[in-house]
Amino acid sequence: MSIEGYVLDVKPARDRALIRIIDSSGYMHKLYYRLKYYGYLLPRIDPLIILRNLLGVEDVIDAWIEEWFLPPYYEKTARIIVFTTYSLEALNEINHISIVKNIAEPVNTYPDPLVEALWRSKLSVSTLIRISSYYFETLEDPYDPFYSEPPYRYVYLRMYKGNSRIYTHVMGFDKVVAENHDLVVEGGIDKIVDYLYVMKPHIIYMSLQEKILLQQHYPELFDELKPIWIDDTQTLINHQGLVYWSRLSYTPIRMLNYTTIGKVLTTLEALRARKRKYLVVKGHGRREPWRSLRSLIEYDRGGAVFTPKPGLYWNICQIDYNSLYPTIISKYNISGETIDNPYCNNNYRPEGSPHLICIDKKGLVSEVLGELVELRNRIKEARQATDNPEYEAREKALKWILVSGFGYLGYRNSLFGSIMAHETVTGIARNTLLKIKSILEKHGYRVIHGIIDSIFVESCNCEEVLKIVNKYSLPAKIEAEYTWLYIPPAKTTGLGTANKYYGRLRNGRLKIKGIMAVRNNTPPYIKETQLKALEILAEAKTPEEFREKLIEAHRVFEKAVDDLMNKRVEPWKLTITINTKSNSTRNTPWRKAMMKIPVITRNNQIVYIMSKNEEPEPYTDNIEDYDVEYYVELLMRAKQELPHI
Amino acid sequence: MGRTTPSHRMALIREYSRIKKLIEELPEDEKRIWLEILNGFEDTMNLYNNVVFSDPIEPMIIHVLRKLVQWCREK
Repeated sequence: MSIEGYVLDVKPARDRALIRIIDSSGYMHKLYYRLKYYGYLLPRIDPLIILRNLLGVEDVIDAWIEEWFLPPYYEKTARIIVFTTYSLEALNEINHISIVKNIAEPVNTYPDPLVEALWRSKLSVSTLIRISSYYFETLEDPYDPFYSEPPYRYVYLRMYKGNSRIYTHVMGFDKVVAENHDLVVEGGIDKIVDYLYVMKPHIIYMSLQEKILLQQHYPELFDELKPIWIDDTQTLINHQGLVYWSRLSYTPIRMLNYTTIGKVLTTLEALRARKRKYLVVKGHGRREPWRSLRSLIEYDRGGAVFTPKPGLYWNICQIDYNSLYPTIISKYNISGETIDNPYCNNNYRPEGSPHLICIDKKGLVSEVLGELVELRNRIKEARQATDNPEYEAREKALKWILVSGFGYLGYRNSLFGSIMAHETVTGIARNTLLKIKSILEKHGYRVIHGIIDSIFVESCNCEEVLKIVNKYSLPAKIEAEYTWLYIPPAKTTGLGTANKYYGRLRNGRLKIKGIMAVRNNTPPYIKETQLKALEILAEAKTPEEFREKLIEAHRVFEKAVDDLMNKRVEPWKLTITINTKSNSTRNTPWRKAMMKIPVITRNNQIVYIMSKNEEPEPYTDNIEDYDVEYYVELLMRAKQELPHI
Repeated sequence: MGRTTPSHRMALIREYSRIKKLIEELPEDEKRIWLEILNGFEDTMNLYNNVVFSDPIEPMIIHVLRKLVQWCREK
């Protein structure tokens, strides 16, 4: 009998894999299937001896010798012993014995053998398949971005104390909220647990602290419902995005908990490396050649970041390049093995690049990112045409992979990148931005700001500006059209800050970057006040109106100070939430507050309040008083981010 | 980026803050002129987006020279 549905999870179970499949009605089927795992050994002794021994092992199905390309340039080859088995335990045991006896080095250990087994069998997770214990058939292309969402039942569980989500499991809570795309249930823990037993979710998203609390109250819940747990506080994307990551990377959702975005991309790259027979040797970094201090200063730099002149600007177009770094990587064939390749026959050095790029064959990173850029463009077009929130989630999932694509290129343990490739990308990107600035200025436009892949131009006609950018540079889009844009001066220098600005968009909405209203560590009260003032400013469409509204906006702060002085502000609105760095030893206020809570309850977040004795205190419901002066000063700082009257 | 050196922009901003502190100590009339000289330093900073310097004082000197040339032209 065969089942049609989506593979939710795969777990190795002796010589079978336990596969959990969700059919269209949301019912979960379980079946055991034989997955073939691949092992790879780089021999240190005569490979034929190892091969003979391997073929004698009961759990090994087959073993043979293949030629694989060696990093860093994949020009030289080596003889590799490849073996297959139905047992992951046997594979790990063989690898272990090879290391202990020093007869071979296990290679191609990345990605996880389970992921490779799924990929080699073309058994994509979260993809529609028809399966029985003996065969399966994939009914969808996992790379097709226009699939219908798998019918997984998922729920986001959040526990609150007052208005803040709990950040430690000894804190206690007074409200639990369960929600997903079509419902929100709110109440006490018993009500929510009843709801969970009725709903029987396949996936639960909640923080580790919330999970501990839930298990303290209902220890048997996870054993009985057996949901997959994902810590949503450590995940950049939502459920739909995670499903898309799992499809693309053949990785069960369970394995994506606590995963980094770089890992998803590296999995995609490693699977492509398998296809090309490029050997993955962990820890094989591409070493930099010796270089002068001057060349480090010259090349070891990020993208172009302008320091804007602070002030108020009218009619501004913000033009953004479409996925600039991934586009450069794809277009210029940038990959660890293509930069300064000594075996290369055809090299070239594009403008701005500090290194030579080889174009003998397509670079691995370049190829993978090129395809992802293409996918993202397709989803983006569909999203713009349909406004489908699922497409938006998929686009975001791809965006994060692409963002990590550049970051991982220069990461020292990157499997397929190199610091030289990283420098090549930033060099070309700097050149691209500076060149377009100069071209626009030649066309008579005034460029007021530029930051990595974004340029701010004074003009009433953004379409015209975009035409010029697209004609002379890489593909770009209009990111925002501002009626006015304000760049506040920095508190210490008076210079403009690259990533702090806000403005009124032509549609009347506000776009805000970097100021207190959008920073995570700003107390809600200060945020609210600044936002209220900015919303008043957003009503201004002309310089005259702006002058009037500015006076009104400043009054908002006067009223807020008055409320603070007269203690009319609830303490929770003055809490400061900090994502902490465990290795920090600086005596910051958040650290002082953290020292006041028991070690066992500490995690990577602290919520504190400045108490009336001018000391940071971890926030609890008992705190009723606060340091007025401190918060008045914060309000004044927020006010300074507005233009002066 | 920034494995061995702070970003150029940060180095320049630090230098600018240092000089500005010094200017704050000057007599009022001198201070006014210096603040006028420093005005528009962002523009000179941005010239260094694709050109490197070994010492952050270099862009400061270039900026002062640019200002002098500008004033001479105006006069």
